[in-house]
Amino acid sequence: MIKIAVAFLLLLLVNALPAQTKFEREYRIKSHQVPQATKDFVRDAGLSGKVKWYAEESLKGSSIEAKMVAGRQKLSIEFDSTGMIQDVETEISSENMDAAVLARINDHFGSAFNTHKIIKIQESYSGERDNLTAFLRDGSKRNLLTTYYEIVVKGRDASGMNLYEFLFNDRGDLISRLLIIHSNTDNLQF
Amino acid sequence: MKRPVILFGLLIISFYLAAQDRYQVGLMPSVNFSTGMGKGWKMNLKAESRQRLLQGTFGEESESEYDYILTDFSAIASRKAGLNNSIAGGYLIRFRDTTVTHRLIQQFTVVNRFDNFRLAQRFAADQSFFEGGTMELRLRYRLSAEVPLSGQSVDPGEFYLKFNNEYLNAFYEDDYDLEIRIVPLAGYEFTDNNKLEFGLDYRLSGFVNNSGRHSFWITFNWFIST
Repeated sequence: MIKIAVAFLLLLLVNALPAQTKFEREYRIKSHQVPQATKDFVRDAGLSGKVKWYAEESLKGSSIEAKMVAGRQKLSIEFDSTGMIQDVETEISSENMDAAVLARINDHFGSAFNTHKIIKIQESYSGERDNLTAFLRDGSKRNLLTTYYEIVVKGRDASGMNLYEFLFNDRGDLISRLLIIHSNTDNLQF
Repeated sequence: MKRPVILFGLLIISFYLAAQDRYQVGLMPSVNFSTGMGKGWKMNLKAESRQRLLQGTFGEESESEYDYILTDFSAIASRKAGLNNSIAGGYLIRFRDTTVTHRLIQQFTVVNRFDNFRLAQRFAADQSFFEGGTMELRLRYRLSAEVPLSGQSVDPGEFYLKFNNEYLNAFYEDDYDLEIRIVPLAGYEFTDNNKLEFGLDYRLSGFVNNSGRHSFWITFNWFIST
């Protein structure tokens, strides 16, 4: 029995060598670790409340993200590693979307999937720093910003039921579609 | 959510920790290997052993003696039944002293991802067949929570905490027993397919009809998959 156990373990060790995987890592950082420019942006945008800072590293590079709740909305502000603003994202409900744009997006889902359900909608704004801070302060200058919709959808097609992340512009034109790969659940299942 | 569950567990333990209760302390290492089999199927192979370091009765002197108790080998095939859930069935063989036990396993698992943690619920049944033709049926429910210690999800190179709480209803001939398991673990993710966990697997059984039996297993779990 011991020989069987040793052989089994050796088999496992051989297969334990990690394969190539996409490198993406996010971790919490302290406010004193972020560039002053990021904190200046949060201040100039008139945002109060607790800010959670995250650093994200991927093959595309590194970025800094500020997550907070403003009013009742979850807000996520992304900066590059020097503190330059990249975009602002806020989670919204389908009721807050332009009806014509939402209809166009739902038509796309209807043709892409047999059945689908929208799980999450994030509205993303990018543009000049001053326009973004003005928008966050009082909702002004929205027309000067570029708006995208990042939508997480549960959809069933010929390949089965999967989770996808779609990116649409403000007219409802599809920009990209990504399959969301769930992280391994073996340690929760077995 | 962690705090109420831990307090509930401690309450259960303190309530049933009584004199005349037996206890044992030992090691329970395990290795889990999973591989895809195509068409959505996955096979999980597991080897686990139990080694006792000491045992005794609360309030009396303990008996410190190493004893290799048992080895389990199992093979479970699973398939996704939906976006967040999967069904599985398999077989376990247990070698204990000169006794061999065969067990059939069925389980249904739901894993939900929240903003800062993952929660899994596992509903399982197993049937153990002993020499002599008798069979023990167990109906199980396990709640597991995995909490990253860095960021909003567990990434490669990061530590996490995992907490399991399981209830096992055992029916053997005319007898019934309830076993409660509380398992706090610390884990490290080398890669998404390679994780190591370490902690304590506490089990309380036999308290329904008799004096309780407390088991404290120091557990090491290695999860690897291809």
